[in-house]
Amino acid sequence: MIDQYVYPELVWVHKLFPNKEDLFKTVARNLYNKGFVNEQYSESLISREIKFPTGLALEDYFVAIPHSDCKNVKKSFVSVVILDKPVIMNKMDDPEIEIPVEYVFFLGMNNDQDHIKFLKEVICIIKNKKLILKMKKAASSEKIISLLSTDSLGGRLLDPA
Amino acid sequence: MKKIKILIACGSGIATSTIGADVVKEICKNLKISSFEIIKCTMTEISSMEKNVDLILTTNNYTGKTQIPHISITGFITGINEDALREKVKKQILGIYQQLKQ
Repeated sequence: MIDQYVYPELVWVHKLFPNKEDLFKTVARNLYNKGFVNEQYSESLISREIKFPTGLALEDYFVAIPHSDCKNVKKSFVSVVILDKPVIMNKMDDPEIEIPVEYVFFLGMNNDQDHIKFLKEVICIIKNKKLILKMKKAASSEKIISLLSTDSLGGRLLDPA
Repeated sequence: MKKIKILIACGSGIATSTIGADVVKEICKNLKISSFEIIKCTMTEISSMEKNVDLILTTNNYTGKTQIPHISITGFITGINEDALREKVKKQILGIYQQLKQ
């Protein structure tokens, strides 16, 4: 299900950004230019992240799931950015703590789809260490798309890693 | 009996709180508790809603002062120490259930 929201033009690999602000602005611009979000999305995303960070510390890697209001989203998406060098973000459950994030999943949900299924699949992806490591090694966005395809994940998406 | 009212909050009120709600529903089902209500809200709405609930669960950091029991449930998103967290939430819900039954 989630693969239908992972568009090739929204998947970036081997990217470098000096900081999260730069990352967010660049991704937001791309999303806006491609018709996925409205003009207010960029500011909404950045200000939400400041107030309520979306950084998550997993076993031995760090991800983030930035998202803002449904009302800024014109078309649902998951924009995946795999970074060559981590950007510093803050932990969701402890905003004072900074973490080096290499895997960023920008989530765009509007009211057109099953939120629970969408989110459960995203959470399964981020908790799947093997999959995350494969994504890190991916040479191209096409590889990422294939890793996240329903055929590739099949029923395994909801299995523990 | 009175319903257990569980407030689940996150930054946007729609994303990680939705996951949290799903886990809590499962916990209540396993406890065979059907008399509960889950209310989702944003972190900023907690202060206006806390008076009417029995338990507050948050995925983001909650810095408010409240008499209502509060548990951080980010572990349901990351899976880190999730089993221990489930037990903690389970015990809390069971405790509230037993209090309301009296």
